Formats: sequence, C-alpha cells, structure tokens
Amino acid sequence: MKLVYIPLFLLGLSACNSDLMDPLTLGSLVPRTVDQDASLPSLVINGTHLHVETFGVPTDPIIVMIHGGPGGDYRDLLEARAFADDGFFVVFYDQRGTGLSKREDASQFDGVQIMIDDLNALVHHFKLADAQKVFLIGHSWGAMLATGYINQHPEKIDGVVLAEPGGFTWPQVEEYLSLSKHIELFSEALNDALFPEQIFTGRDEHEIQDYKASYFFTFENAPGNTIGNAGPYPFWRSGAVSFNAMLEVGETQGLDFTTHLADFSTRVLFTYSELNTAYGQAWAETVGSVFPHIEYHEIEGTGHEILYFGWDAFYAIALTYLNEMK
Amino acid sequence: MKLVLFFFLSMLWSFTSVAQVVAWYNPDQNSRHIMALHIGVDFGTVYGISYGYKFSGKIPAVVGTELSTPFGKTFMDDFKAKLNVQTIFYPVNHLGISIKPGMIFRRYASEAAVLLNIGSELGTTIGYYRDKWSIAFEANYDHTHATLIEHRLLKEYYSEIQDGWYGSTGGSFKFGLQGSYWLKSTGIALKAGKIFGQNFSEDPTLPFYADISVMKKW
Repeated sequence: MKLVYIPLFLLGLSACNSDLMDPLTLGSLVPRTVDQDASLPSLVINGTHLHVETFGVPTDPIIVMIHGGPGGDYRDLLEARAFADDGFFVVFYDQRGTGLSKREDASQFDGVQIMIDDLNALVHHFKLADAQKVFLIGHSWGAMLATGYINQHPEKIDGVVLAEPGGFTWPQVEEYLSLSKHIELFSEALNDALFPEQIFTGRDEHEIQDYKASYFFTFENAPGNTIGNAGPYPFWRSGAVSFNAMLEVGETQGLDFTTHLADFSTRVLFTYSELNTAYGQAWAETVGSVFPHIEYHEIEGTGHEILYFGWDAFYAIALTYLNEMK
Repeated sequence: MKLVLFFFLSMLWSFTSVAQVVAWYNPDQNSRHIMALHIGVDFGTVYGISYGYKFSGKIPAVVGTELSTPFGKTFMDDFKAKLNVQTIFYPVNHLGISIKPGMIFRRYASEAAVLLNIGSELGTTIGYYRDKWSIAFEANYDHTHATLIEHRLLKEYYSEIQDGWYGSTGGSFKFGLQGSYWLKSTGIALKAGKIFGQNFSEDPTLPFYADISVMKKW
C-alpha cells in the first residue's frame, strides 16, 4: 500500500516549477503582434490594430492582397511585392485577429461583415483620388472575402484576381472542405497534429491556442496532401480564435456572397491549381459561374498555395490581367 | 528542477513496460499479474500495452505501467508512458470504488518540434462488479506540469522562438464508461467517453476517447 505514495511524492516534486519558462511570456512561443511590438508596420483602423505593409507609389493603382485562412496571414503572399515595380501600390494586411495583427476577442467575429468592413476601411484609407483604381487579389478564404466585398461594394473595385476560393456560399464551402480535408485516421500526419493537443489543452489564452494551432500546419501540407501543396510554407501566427470563430459563423449563420454578383460587369480573373485534386476546372467553373464576365486559368505545377509554390506562373497571368484592367 | 525530472524519469523507466490496467478487480484473488494489449482513440489513433501487479494488504493496490503510441509511419516517435497506482476498495454488494493517481511522460516529434512532457493524473472509477463482468463510470484529470520544447520548422519560421522547459500548458478531463468481461484468465475491456479541456471551453479537436483491450492475468 505504501507504493501508493510514490507517484504522489513524484507528483508533488514535479509541481515545483520555479525554473520553468512561462508559455505566456511575450514572444516566447509566438511572435509579438503590432500592439506588442511598435517596430511592426501597422494601422489602427475600424476599431482594431492591423499589421499593414505597403509597397510602391501611393498614387498608383492599388492592389489589396487578401490572405487565406480564416486565421492565416500574408507572409506567403509577399512575392506579390513585385507588382510595385510594375506600377501598382501593393497593400498587404493581416486580417483582424490574425497574423501579426492585434489579437481580438472571439465576440468580435460575430459575422463575416466585420471582415468586409475592415477591408472597406482599408480601401478608403489608401485610395487618395476618385480616379485611382482599386484591385483585389485574394487567395482561398481571401478570394471568398474579396468576392463578399464585391458583392456589397461592386462600384469600388476595378478588377479582381481570385485564387481557388473554396466557394461563395456555405454549401459550396462545405462541399469543398469535405473533398480537400481528406483524413486518414491512422496516418502520421493526423496524429502529429492531434497528439500535442493533450499537452496544450484547456487554456483560454490566445497565445497558447495560436501555438497549438501551428501544429496542424504540417498536417495540412504533409506528403500526399489532397490540396497538392509541395510542403509547408512560412507563416507568422495561426489565428486560432479567428479561425474557430469564423468557422462557427459559417456553420451557424451560413454565408452567401453571390446575391449581387450578377451586376458586377467587370472582368474577373479566376485561377486554380493543377495539383489540388479537390479543385480542378469543373469546381472552378461551378464556383465562378456567378460572375457574368470571367476568365479561368489553371496554374501549372502548384497546389492550393498558388501564390507561394506557383508564383512565377501566377505572376505572369495576373500581371497581364492587371495591366489590361489598369 | 532538472534533478527532479531526472529522478522522475529514472523511476519511470525502472519499470520495464507500460500500459493500462482496466477492470483490475476480479474474484480470482490468486492472480497477481495482468497484462493487456489495447487499441483506441485518445488524442489520435493509438495502440499500446500495459502491465499491472497486484499487491495484497488491508487495502490492496495495483501498480501499473502503460505505454501507448499513435499510429503512423514513424514508430514510437510519439508516445505516452504512465506509472500509476490503483487503490482497491473491495466491492460491497458488487459496487466498488477505485482511485488511481499516476505520473505521465510524453514524447512527441514532428517536422514542427520535439516535445518532452511531464504530467500527472488522478482517476477514479465507480462500478458494478460481478464474477465475469463489470461496468463502471470513470473520471480522470490529466495535468501537464512541464514541457521541454525543441523547435524545428517553427524555429525556421520564427527565429526568436524560445526552446527550453515551459511550465504548465493545460490539462484535460475525461468522463466515460468502461466495461469488462472475463472468460477464465482472459478478458476483454471496452471504454469510451468524452474529453474536455480543463477550462471546459477549449476542447480538443477529437473530443472523444475509446479503447478496446484484450487482457490476460496469471
């Protein structure tokens, strides 16, 4: 019976953790955000503090880069800085609560509208003259958000490049997710994502949730992944709260970004990847069919992360389009 | 702290194997050893082995060790090892209660990072035990005390990320049912239930656990 006391004794000893680092120490496990690091480029706008970076001449036609996720950041889109040398003013931003933007409470993500309003505030902030054209380039969820914005503010946008939006309605998103998130129960990739959850679990602090979410990154991009990515790609911070909240918004409220797209007569460039087996031309045409004037391009040699793994091919096609629309 | 960890690890590894003691109670009081192979779902799909030794006394106890590892291409790069002691309160009118404190050691390795984690747990069961079968409600709390983190890919993406020993990063509760059936010296046990984060709001992606074990006693 005395053996009972051995683990209890050890338990007590292990609780003496005075030498241990605090996982909540700023910058120890996840990068500091703009409210914690004044050296980061930022903009206080629409009631939040966003990580915002610009390249080019402010009076040139504007391109707003919209990253995927929800909960991602723009680090993997940075090749698009090249558009600044082509006569565009390129604006990057990490969406509300994501990347290096300030963390926000889940209650702020009570609908997609807040993300559309943030984008609208950015467009108004950077547009210096009525004649200055504004273009959007959106990837994945960012392409959905770009479309949601156009659905509400078609007159403010002079062209848009979409890269594999999952769908423009919630049923489309669900269908795409069911195809793209193929799960093999006994795989190394899945268990590599799930195992750390028993170590980082049941904590309210966003920093720990963000850090835990980063372990899912390798699952999504593991060898043989359905979406065709060649591997992981760089990111700053997984915005776990934003991701979960926006997913809940979709599940509880649904979404429909198509209600007014029939009135958007501007030509749209819709790109999809060669290697994403969950996407393809048929799905691209299904999703894109709501735009009256649209052209499709397959980007060869890349999976879903088109602007990172397929940048060269994407750049050539997108630049041609943007110059034509400029 | 490092000395404490070394001491704990030495104790843990002085036991030769690990696993899970399920449905330890049985009218056969002559058997002192129980071994089980198990497969299940517990923060992933896992399989493992367990061994328990029963000590006699006024309140007998089973000292048990457990080892489980997730399925996957790389064998044993991730695993969870436990050392626990289960106190035995003899059933009254076939109703019995047990309490099981234990220590946990976890290792995890992936492209992202390598983790070594030390935790502790406290479990209890309240069950109905007959000669050949049993059914019990179980509750368990698993708390992380310290984790050594050595970053890999995450360090490439964020060079200022800090490697080293971190304090508690959370804990989880499990609530579920377990049942067993014995045929002479061979038994089968099933358990399943729900996992909650310790704050009952941040639950794991896979918020359930389940396990089937084949047991042998002698």
